[in-house]
Amino acid sequence: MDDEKVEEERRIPVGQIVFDEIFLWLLISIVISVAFYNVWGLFDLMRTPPAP
Amino acid sequence: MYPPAEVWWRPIDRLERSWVIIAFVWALVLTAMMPLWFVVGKQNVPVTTYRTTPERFRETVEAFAAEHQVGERAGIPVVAPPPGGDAYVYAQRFSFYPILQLEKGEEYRIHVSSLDVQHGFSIQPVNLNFQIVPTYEYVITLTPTESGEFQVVCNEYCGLGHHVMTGTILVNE
Amino acid sequence: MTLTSERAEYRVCPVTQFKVDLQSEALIKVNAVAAVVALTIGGIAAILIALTRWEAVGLLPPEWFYRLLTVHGTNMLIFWIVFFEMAGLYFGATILLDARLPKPAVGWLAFGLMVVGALFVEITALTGNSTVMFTAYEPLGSNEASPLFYLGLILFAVGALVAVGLFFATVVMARVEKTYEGSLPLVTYGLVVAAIIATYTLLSGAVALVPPFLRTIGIIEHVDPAFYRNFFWSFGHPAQQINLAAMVAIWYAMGVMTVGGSPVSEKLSRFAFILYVLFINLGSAHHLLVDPGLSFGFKTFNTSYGMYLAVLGSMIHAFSIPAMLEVAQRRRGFTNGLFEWLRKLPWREPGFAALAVSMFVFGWIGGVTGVTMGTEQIDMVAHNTLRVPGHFHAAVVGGTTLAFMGFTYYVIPLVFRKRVKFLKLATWQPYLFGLGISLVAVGMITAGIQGVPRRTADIDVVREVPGTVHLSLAVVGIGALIAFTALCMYLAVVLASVFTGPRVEATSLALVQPMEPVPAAAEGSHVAPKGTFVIVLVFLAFFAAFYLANWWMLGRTWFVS
Repeated sequence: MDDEKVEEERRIPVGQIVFDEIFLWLLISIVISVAFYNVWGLFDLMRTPPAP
Repeated sequence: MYPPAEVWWRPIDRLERSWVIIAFVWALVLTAMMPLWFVVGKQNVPVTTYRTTPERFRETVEAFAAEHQVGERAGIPVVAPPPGGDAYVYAQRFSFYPILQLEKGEEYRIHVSSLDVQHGFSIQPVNLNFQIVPTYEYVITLTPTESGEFQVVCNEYCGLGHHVMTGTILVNE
Repeated sequence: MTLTSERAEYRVCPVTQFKVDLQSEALIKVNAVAAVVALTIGGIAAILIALTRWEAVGLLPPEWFYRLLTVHGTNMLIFWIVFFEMAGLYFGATILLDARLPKPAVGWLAFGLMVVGALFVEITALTGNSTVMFTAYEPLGSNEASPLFYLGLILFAVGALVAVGLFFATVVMARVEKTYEGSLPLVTYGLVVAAIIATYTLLSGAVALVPPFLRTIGIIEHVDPAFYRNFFWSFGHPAQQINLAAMVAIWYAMGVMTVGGSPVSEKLSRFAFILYVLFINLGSAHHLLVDPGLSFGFKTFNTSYGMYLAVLGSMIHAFSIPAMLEVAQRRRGFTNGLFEWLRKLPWREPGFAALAVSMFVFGWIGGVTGVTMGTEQIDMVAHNTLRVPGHFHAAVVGGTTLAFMGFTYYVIPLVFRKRVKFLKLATWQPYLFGLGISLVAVGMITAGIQGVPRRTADIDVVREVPGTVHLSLAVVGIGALIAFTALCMYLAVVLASVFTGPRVEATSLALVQPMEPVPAAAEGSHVAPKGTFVIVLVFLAFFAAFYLANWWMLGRTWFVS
């Protein structure tokens, strides 16, 4: 138990490193928002057919 | 507020884990309700839309009103579209044109658009609300389930006379 | 290693031992002052328009109603909130990290742009030259608004974007100069999330507002109204999600400051913030649910933030924050039954009162109604009715604004270094404000359920409405009077303290009711937040009941597809 704990203290877990990468999150956030909301929404609008 | 421990990536306690699972299941229920209602529900958001222009849409509405007019109220024609058929209504600051006369329990495809700015299409007191966007012709497939006189209220700010903008839908038994 | 040659001057906060960069402190002060000025203008407009919608009073003529509604919306939803968030960002990036601002001049430039932009908007809106509402929908917006209105909004957005850039630069430099080790503190992490959302928001704002600006000066002829709606709402809605992230960060801060303890799980709290980063901006689609031209897939995917994952984030915070307080209290020995810890919380401490009321109004009224009417089909019985402002008054005013107000009471001794005057008023203010705003929100929601449209000067002109509608609108008016009284109390405390309070060095974080320090946890000891678990289950039951009742209501209306 103690050994495990010491081992844990020494290495920073990968999850923690990923969570700390704030610019990665900035990038992903903008990509998701632009792709799913803006691009998809404008794509839907542009597909609107002319009135018959 | 203060810096965390050097390593904070630790297992989550039992109660917290339980709450996250419960909350996630609830999120799944919320997600599933929309497609479920899409399949079994009778109230779904209209999708059909056409691109149009104010001039063109005005002509369509006027031709429709002339063809199916059955009366007149304060200078605005009362128009009875054929059950199962198409009806056309335009919004313009600060009125709706024409007045529709529908049959209870019959389905109508009501095309709405605006000749100037954005408006709202809010049927009261039924309380069904849609956005009217100029240059887009929105097709609302509607089946009234009660009879009487209903009002169409504009619920998108459209100018200083916005609060007096109203239209009418009549539903016969 | 340093990135710039500039030297910073510091003082050390005697209470928290944080190093405070004096340039950053000055920027916090001016942004906070600008925020309070905007809040005052927006608040005066608020009471006047609320007393107009209370039909028995019917204060203003329609022209003034619409004009002041525009003033109210822009001040409250943009200027007050964003100025305060800028103050929060400087606080989180410098003070909490013991860091200095890399280029204070950039911060002043940003502030200058924002002030000039805000002034353009105030002047054009107050003189009736831009009565187009906060949203300025096309083509009404560029038909009727002054070019200065758009220019002002654009300058403001650019200024805020510059400040957000400075925030990121400060965080990076603090890391390079090693003023902090390891991970960012949770509060700063939450502010980073706010800044991430702000980046997307402010860029969208520029994209949305430039075409109508060009149309007002005759460079282009036509702006597609549906395209504008798409871009505008990726500015207008996420702007409120910046609030959400900043508010949650401030909730954690106020919890630590007034009760003590530390987050029960850094991992879970940060995970909840990550869920915001990933999904919350999709909620912009809430405004487009009954718009022409958009598919079922687009509407449902976006309105549900993916799969309600941002809602899951909020539900995690709704657990984590009270759990943090409960664990701290139980460590202090308040272990009897499920709720002794709750009774023994510092209810007379203004910051705690603001935290508790803000969380309640935000979650139980704002959150539940927001998720419900953000359901694609249910929006048909909610869109553009008073239910919408009912929801966001609970969320933005009862939630964010109240949290920010509570936080100011601590900014006064710690940053302005003035003694807080009228502490009695400060203790009562959050409760009174929460009560007033709850009445406003509930009045609006019940009126909206009866079909009353939003943004409408007078509903009696075109339609005979039942007495219950007038009752709802009277509740809005009475609530607004109470909330306005509480706003005046807040302004009295803040202005009296900042301008006439004696200069003091703070000696403790608490203002009224200091709590004993939390005893360190014994090795291997574990305290389970059982009371919190019960509270969140009750919350979920209420949420489910309201949500399902709305489906039932929708199912009784006309068939539509």
